[in-house]
Parts: sequence; C-alpha cells; structure tokens
Amino acid sequence: MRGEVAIVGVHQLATEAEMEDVPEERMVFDAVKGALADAGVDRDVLDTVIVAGNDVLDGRTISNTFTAEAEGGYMKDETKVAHDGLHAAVYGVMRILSGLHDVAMVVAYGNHNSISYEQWTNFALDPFRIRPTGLDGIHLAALQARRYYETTDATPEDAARVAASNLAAARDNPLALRSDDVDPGDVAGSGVAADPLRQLEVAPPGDGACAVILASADRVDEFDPDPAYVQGIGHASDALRPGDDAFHRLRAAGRAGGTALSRAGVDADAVDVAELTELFAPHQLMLAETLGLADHGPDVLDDGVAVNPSGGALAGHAYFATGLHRLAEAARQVTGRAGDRQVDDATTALAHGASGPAHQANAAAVVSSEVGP
Amino acid sequence: MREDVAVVGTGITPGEDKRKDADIPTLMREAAQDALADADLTPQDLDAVVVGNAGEFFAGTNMPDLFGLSEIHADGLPEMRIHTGGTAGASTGLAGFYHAASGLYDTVMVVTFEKLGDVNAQQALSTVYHPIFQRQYGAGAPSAAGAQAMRYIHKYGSDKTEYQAAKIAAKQRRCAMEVPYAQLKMELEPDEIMESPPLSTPVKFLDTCPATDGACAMIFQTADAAREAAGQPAWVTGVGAITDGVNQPHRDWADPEACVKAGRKAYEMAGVEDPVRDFDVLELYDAFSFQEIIWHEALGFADRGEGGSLIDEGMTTPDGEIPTCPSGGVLCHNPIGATALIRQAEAARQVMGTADHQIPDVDRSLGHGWGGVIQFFTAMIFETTPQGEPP
Amino acid sequence: MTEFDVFEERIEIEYFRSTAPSVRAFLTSLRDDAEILGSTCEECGHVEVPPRDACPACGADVESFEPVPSEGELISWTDDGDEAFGVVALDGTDAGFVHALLDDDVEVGARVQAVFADDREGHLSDIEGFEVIG
Repeated sequence: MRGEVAIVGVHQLATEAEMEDVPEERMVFDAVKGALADAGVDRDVLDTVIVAGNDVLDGRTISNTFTAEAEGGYMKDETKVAHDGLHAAVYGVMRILSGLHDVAMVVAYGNHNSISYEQWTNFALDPFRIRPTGLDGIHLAALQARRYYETTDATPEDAARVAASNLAAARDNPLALRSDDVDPGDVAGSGVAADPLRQLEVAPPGDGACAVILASADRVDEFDPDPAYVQGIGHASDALRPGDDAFHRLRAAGRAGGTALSRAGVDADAVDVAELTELFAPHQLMLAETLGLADHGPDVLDDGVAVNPSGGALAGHAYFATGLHRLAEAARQVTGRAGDRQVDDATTALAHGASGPAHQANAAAVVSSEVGP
Repeated sequence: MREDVAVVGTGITPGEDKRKDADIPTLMREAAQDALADADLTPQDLDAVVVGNAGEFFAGTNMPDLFGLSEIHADGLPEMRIHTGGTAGASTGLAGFYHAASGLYDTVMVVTFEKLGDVNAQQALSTVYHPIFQRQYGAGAPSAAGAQAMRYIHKYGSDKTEYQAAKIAAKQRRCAMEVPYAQLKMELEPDEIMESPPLSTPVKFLDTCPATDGACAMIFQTADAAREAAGQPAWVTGVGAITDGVNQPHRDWADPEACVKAGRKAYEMAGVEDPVRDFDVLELYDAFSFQEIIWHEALGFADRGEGGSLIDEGMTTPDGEIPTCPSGGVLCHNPIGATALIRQAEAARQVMGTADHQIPDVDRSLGHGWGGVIQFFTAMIFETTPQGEPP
Repeated sequence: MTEFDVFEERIEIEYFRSTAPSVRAFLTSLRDDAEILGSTCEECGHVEVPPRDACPACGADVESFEPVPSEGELISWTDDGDEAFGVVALDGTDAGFVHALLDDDVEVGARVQAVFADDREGHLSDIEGFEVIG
C-alpha cells in the first residue's frame, strides 16, 4: 500500500474546555470546511465521507443523522465509525485502496457536554462483571500503570517527566487545550487522581474536532498542500483482561503500530516523530515500548524519536477526535507545517489513536513525505 | 476493484422479542459460530472483525463491541465498530467488504446485533430525536413511516395503494412461514391486515415490523481464498451507499433521491442495466409494507407511481419475476442493528443456494437497506461469479 | 451569557438485561453460597473469573462453572482517596478479578481475601471487597 494514499488537506480546531455556543454540527462543519480550504478544493471532489462520533457523548442516538450534512456528506457515500477518528482514517484508506473511491473526507469530533470521562468509560464496561464496581477508565489506567511499574524498571518519576515534557511542548501548540511550565516535582505534587496517577498525568477532556482529506496518490496534484503519504495502517482491539500481560503492555496498540510499520516497510527506528494517544502519562512509556520505539519506555524522554511534540493527549483530548489530531499532527510534521513545534528533518511519523476504557481499541498509521521507500 | 470479494458464510440467530437466555455477547457468538461453520472456517482463519449495532443507548453499553470481543474471536484482532442506525447492519457489511477489497485482509467477519428486549424501548428510542426540536414529539419510526406513506399516496397513490400495501404485508408474512429463524410467522390475508388497528395512518399494526432480539454474522473473503470455499460463494459485484440530509427542505420521502443514487452506483459497478431483467431476487428493507412500493420505484423496478402494480401483477411473490423478500423481510424479523446485514446475508444466501426460502436459479441478487431518519441508503449486489465474469 | 444558551436534559433509560448462564450462576453463587464462581474450559483448562460462556484463551464453549478460592495475590491496585480497587489473581485461576479493596495500605504481592456481606442479593456488591491477610 506504500505510495498509494496521501493526506492532502488537514484542519484541526483548537481544543477548548467548553466550546460555548457551538453545537456538534458546527464543530464538524468548521473542521470540514477548514480541511477543504486547506486542500484548495470544493466538496464536489469528495467521493466518500467517514465521521467518527459517539452517541453517548452526543446524547443522541445515530449521531450522524444530524452531522451528515455538516460533514460534507450530503448525497455522498457517507458512513460512521463508532471508534476513534484514526480508526475512521484507517477505514478511509481502505476505501481508497479498494479502487472504488479516490478522495475521502475523514472527520472526528468530541463535544463532551456534561458527561464526564469517568461516566463515559464506566458505561463501556461489561455490565455484569465489572461495571457495578463503579470503576472507570481512570482507575483502570491506574491499575495498568501500577502493573507496568511493578514489572519493568519504569517509575512514577518517569511518568511525571512525560507529563512535564508534554505540557511544555504544548506551549508551542496553539491548538492545545492546555500547556504548562511545570517540572516533574510539580506533577508529582499535583494531587492524586487514582494512585499512582497524579492529576497532571491525566489527559484533560475538552471539545474538539479535526478533519483530514485522504486522496489516491495519483490525484495529489489537484490539492494545494504537499502530500503526506500514508505508507502503512493497522488497528487492533484487546478484550479487557486486567490479569493478563496484554493489559499493561498495551498489546493491541503494539499490534496496530507493528502492522502499520510492517506495511510501510520500515522498522520503528525509522520513525522521526511519534504522535501517540497517551490519555495518561505512564501510557506514553508503555506505548513507546509496545510500539518498539524504545526497549525501556523512559528512554524516549532522552533521545531518539520525538514523541508528542504537539503535547499529545495530555495537552487535551477530545474523545474520538484525539487520534485524528495525532494523524493531523503527523502529517504536518512530515510536510514541514508544524510551526514552532516542527521537528527538524522529520520525514517519517507514526500516529496512534486509542479509545475505550484501558486503551482497548487502537489504530495506527505511518506517514511520510516520501512517496516510495 | 482491487480485489474480488465474496461472501462465503452467514449466520442468523432465531428471533424472539426477548431472548431471555442470552446477553449481547452470546447472541453475537451464536451468529459468529454459525457463520464460521457455514463457511467451513475456524476462528484462526479470521484476519479482521467488524461489529455493528444501532445504538449505545439501545445496547445499554458504550462501545458495546468491546465487551464481547473474546466471544466473537476478535480479542487482539483488527476490529472496529460501525453505527448508522437502522442500516448499521448494511454499513457494517460494507465496511467488511472494504476491509477485504482493500487487499489488506483476506478473511473478514462482520457481526451485527440488537437487543431491544433488554431496554425500555420508548425511553431508548426517544434518544433518536433531536433533543431540542423533536424529542418530545417523536413517536418513533411508525410516525415517519406514516408520513412517508401519506406523502406517497398524496403524490401518486390511488385508492388502491393501501390495499397494495396490505397485499405486500401478506406476501411477506406468508414467506416467513418458510423461514425457521423469522420471529413472526403468521399466515394472513390482506383483508386481515387492512382490519388491523392503525399505528400511524395509513400504516397499520400488521403493516409494521417487530423489534427482535437477534444477531447476524457474515464472512467475506478475497478471491483466492473464496475460490477454495466448499460451496458457491456470493461474489460482491456492486456496492452503493448515499446519505441524504435531514435538513433539506426539498427532501421527498416518496421519491428518495438518495435511494435512487445508491442503487445506481451499485448497478453501474455491476453492469446492471435493466433491474427487472437483471435481478433474480431482491431483499429490500421494508420496515413497513408501504415502503416496498417506494423502494421498487426508487431502485428502478417500476416507474414513478407504478410500484404498487408489481404486487397486483404477481411480480414480487416467490414464483414471480422479481421475488421480493422471500425471507419474510423486516416485517417478520427485525433486530435493528442486524436487519440490514440480514438483507445482505439473505441476498447472499440466495446466490449461495443456502436460503431457507430458496428461489430457484438465482444468479444475481440485491440486498438493500435504509437508516437514520429515512436518509441513509445502501445497496449490495451479489452474483454467482465475480464482477465482469459471465454467470 | 444570553438566554437559552444552555439546554438541559436528563436522559434516563431503564435496562432489564437478559443474562447468560455464566452470569446467572455467578450471581447465584454469590448470594446463596458466598462463593466466587469461575468457569473452566474443558478444551484447554483455562479458568476464568468472573465466569464466561466462551473461553477467552481458546474460544471454545464453556459450560463448567465451579467455585474458585476467594483469596489470592494482589497484582495491582489503585486508590483515589475515596475508594480503592485491586486486581486479584485468585488462586487457581487464570484471570485478574477486579473489585474494591478494604484496606488503606496495600502492596502488590499481598495476599488478600474476599469479604462477603451478611445480606446478599446476587450482585457484585455481595462481596464488600478484599482485605489483606498477609
């Protein structure tokens, strides 16, 4: 699949704690219009539209009933993935690879209204065997983190460094919900979210949206931006099994990333920039290991691949938009459009998205400025 | 198309209004196991799984695909969920098709389900409506169907339309007698349907689909693998899907432009020029009997305003020229999130020769779906040979 | 702020979920016997808790439900200041059982055991939580 699909337009709304006076349709519309403007094209060029949204967040069943027109989907082959936006992008790539579509609009959004991340994740748990305990995604992440610390050399101090690093990086990202100039000691002292997680180690939820236009590589000249080629994609989901190694090794994330890298024909060490969905600081370390970016997760803090120069999810997540934020960022990095957070000589980037309690459902994409190997 | 793709196995669970013995993972598993057995495949053969259902609020669980992953052999596999309301089943089927057609996955299982028997349906269904503009007044799908039928009668209908709808309902219900999994099996005459209580005028109680607890699974394979299948594969030769907009003021439910376009896209791909001549059997998403008249017109089987003549002329009964819904259709079995996949699965079964109510000599079939506020339309065409090859 | 800039709504939906055999057996065992039931796969021997009707390890149908020990090793825990939860590898099982922890000061590796409520209804809360025993 190398060299066959490219990202030819990107628009990301700045993630905000609450987008006042902005309903879901408006967020989607602004993201899609922005991507079309970025690409320098009209809606007419689209063959298919894929939205990623969640009914529970919206408080509406069949949420794309109401967002379809704002997505640019009117009278088009439009569908909805009920997983993270990066899953929707993966599906969009498949549609183009099939030869039946040339240009796909992928849009993802999250408007969290008044439901909390805790409620949203608790509602996703097995209603018989786990949900009645009252556990939620934050507790599960804490259980994963503790298992990770117990079974590896990584420590809470390493996670605190991740949080400090990502929040600092976010200062160069006008799209981030939050940024801060803190040191690991401040993170450690930020209060307990669910031990060993500290408050500053938990990605804050916000309202956000993002749209990415995918095109068959033979059409890239019709679009304004330099293309970022999607060289490999992968996705995988793990059942929630807190006693298994897969739980703290984030096995499904590793499979998604591994497949993407393998399809792209590159090893993890070819990755210049990794934009990962770390809803919790320790998870960035776990992800680094499972994706093969480092044998010892904390090593990514010191050298090698640049991880989350955007600030990542710790700088603000918007539910199902979060993975698409990562893909948008990866595309910007490899095409030199990442502004003050540009990583020098970035030609190959890995984007990762995750959703569901305990990072169960994962997708990944390898993007590159080069069309061939 | 990069890869030829075929359906090689299907599974449909027996329908009840409430499957008291099973939860959602159990229903999904039953359908999945049946599909694997039908395809003569093992779980280890699966390369990817796609799950669909019509709503988190219906299921009572957010991201409901995740808690039954190991039951459907998807733990650790590429997996995603699709959700487009009433046509979720078809959208999920399309996603499964694209997984294979992309060339990235050779064997893809699609699993869809619904279990409205677990929930207070009125409360759950109320979440379909726009919270500010509609929720207090929406009386569910029947009111939309009633409005659609009224619109059709106003625009085209003669005084025959209601009775034609009753004959369509009677046809469907009689067909279901041959289908063991169908939830509702009742042999009825059109007059009995005419006399049933009104649900949303002119739609009557017996013109209307049930809500079923059930699941459906379907397995796609790419050509090399599908050619090894023991039975006759159902090759996917045409797909189309179009979304209409809820806010378009000119939208006409009696003339659904999106349905016309979805059908045309699929026909163009499959080389279908004369639907009546080119199809041997149809599985249309008739949630309400009147809809069959409208879908036949939109899909090119009758001229505008003439759709009712098909039932009058005996064209759409099992022994007619274009048998429509020999499975009994949605009117007799409706696990919402699975229903549109069942249309595809039944159409596939007809080509595979494995349908309960098998029509003889089927070379080409059509599975159709709709969802949302009658706005999402899907079409999938199956044939005995891949695209471009003669039957 | 303008008028009507926020539209409040409360969604309330009741569920009456049908249960699979494993869940029925599990809840019955909690209420009647103050025991935790697991499921044993006859194909591969995997013991799962809470029990499931399909083996998570090999995918076979599972119909054998037996009580498992209600004590084991704490393999992970968390505490949010109000509540504490743990993952317990109950003896003889191949899964991590998640439930509340009753002690403030716990460590991974501790031996813990389930404390059952006197009045039980057939619900996960029939187990009050796990306490450290060593």
